[in-house]
Amino acid sequence: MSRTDRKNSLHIKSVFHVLRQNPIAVIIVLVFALFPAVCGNIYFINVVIEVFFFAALGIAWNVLGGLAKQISWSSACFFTIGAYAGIMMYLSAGVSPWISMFIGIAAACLFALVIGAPCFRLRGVFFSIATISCTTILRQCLIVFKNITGGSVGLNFGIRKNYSLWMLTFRSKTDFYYLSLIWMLACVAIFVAVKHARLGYYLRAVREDEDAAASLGIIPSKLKTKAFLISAAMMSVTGTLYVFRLGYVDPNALCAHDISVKIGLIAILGGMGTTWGPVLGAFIIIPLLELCNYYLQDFAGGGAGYALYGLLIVLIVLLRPSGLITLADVIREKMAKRKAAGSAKGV
Amino acid sequence: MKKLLQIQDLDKSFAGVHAIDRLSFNIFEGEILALIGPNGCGKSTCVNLISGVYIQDSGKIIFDNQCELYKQTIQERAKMGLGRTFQSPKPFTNLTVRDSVLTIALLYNKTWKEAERKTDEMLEFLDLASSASVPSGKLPIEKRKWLDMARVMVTEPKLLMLDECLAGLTPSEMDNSLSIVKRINERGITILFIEHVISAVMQLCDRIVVMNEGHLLTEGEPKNVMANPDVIRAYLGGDYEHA
Ligand SMILES: Nc1ncnc2c1ncn2[C@@H]1O[C@H](COP(=O)(O)OP(=O)(O)O)[C@@H](O)[C@H]1O
Ligand SMILES: [Mg+2]
Repeated sequence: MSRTDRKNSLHIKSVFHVLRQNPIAVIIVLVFALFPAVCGNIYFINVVIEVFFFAALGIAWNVLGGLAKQISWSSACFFTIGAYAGIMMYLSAGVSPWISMFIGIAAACLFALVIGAPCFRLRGVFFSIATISCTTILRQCLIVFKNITGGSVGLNFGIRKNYSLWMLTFRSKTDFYYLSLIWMLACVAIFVAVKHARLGYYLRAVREDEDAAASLGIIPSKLKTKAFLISAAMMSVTGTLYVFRLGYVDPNALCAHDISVKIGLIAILGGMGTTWGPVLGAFIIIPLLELCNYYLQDFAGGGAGYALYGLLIVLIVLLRPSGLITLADVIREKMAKRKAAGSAKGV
Repeated sequence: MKKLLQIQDLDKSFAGVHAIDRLSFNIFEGEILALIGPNGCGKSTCVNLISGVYIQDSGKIIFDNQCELYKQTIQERAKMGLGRTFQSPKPFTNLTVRDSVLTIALLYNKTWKEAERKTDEMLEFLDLASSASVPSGKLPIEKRKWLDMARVMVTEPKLLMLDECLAGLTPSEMDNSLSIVKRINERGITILFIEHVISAVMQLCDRIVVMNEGHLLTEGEPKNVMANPDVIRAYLGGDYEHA
């Protein structure tokens, strides 16, 4: 077997391994798959679509944030780049999102290189700090170059006819539901594949001790850059798919620091470096924000969402820094213990 | 005997602290060379200069008879065959013992199979096989030091620099570690053994280099070095006579 064969078969094997290890996850995925058939309420379906997209973004964030502990607050940039690539190419030349997503990936990777190359040379928090301003810079660029980006008004698809998968124009909302579900699961698969590939091993070594890793021949900056590129590409694809559902782009809503924070928080709350953590995180944060927007609209001038982020960060750091998904391990252990105790009594 | 590493007139200062002061010595292929001296005399700095953590102000480090070490990065030097451990162990805390070693083995082997084989072989060789699935951070101090050695051993170093790998161990743990170091050397790996406990050095090493305040005090065979009145006066003082 050649080296790449071996690598690929290993990735596929590890995906199956994860499925077998997580029977609960398989059941949950089945529930997701059947949900639209059971739930007739289009509002709930829309919320869950939002959850899936943000879970995908959280998983993408986790490739860099979880495996290498490089905390990025620039996620909205890559999401926005993917969205603009999709809508701009559609409006100017009728290009399918399945094509323009690759243009988005290329642009997002370029942007990630520009941020990552200088920052990853330095150790520690510099990267994290440097990422904070990126969202604002990109938004200003989008607003300034209004000839092609539509400025602060953004761009709108207008009316799209010709329903087709190729152009992601669907008759029914549930089509996008399944598309977002499949993409989220694809992101899970990519994350697992990266984690179990050489890159995943090296990244975790760098995360645990950068000096030791370097002394043994690992080049931390190179690996962090690779992880950042993968993460950026995943976010960009999410953006392209997302904009074809949304139907328009608004730079102020999309390329917002708020979105970057939301993405990071989803992964941190669910569990940094865990496979399913961001999915859980998205299922908590997105509905909570919906509730906030609905019931606390007037609270602090609409700042209830921010207050919520702050509160959640404090709580998770205090109570469960490894993330909520790790509670599942605790429960699993308890159940195993009880089982063992029960069988001991039986004898 | 072939010189594996030559250090010539090496000099390094840190903002006024003259840590290494015109230091010269050689390491011969296949030997265990002890580098001893009181705390703060520059032993770790010496390792850091050889491994590329710091770059010397002046002087030469020549590896393998021809290659002058100056511009090479830490990683390039690791790939050339310069391995080192740190004075305080640096485990990949949340990775298991096996994953820690496998990570490095993957870096030096083309196939997973080969990397896994070498990992398991090395765990066996360094008495870590029974702890393979333990998280590295949960190992006792003694085994943490062996894990550091296992990780660097899968890089197949020509020269292994062990920085105080006995510090913090009980006497019986020390014996275990010494026999491990001896075993590593028997594989043909040259060892620079940094220590300030003398008794361990006396039984393990072929030659000793004594440093004091950044410069070379003396070097030679253990019994000659220890008989040297300079060494006794300047470094060991009354302690050694009492020991
Ligand atoms: N990075 C550094 N910055 C400033 N001073 C240093 C640095 N590294 C070592 N030193 C100084 O160099 C001297 C030698 O230190 P070191 O090599 O650690 O000694 P040893 O390992 O022999 O105990 C000490 O005085 C120490 O304070
Ligand atoms: Mg030292």
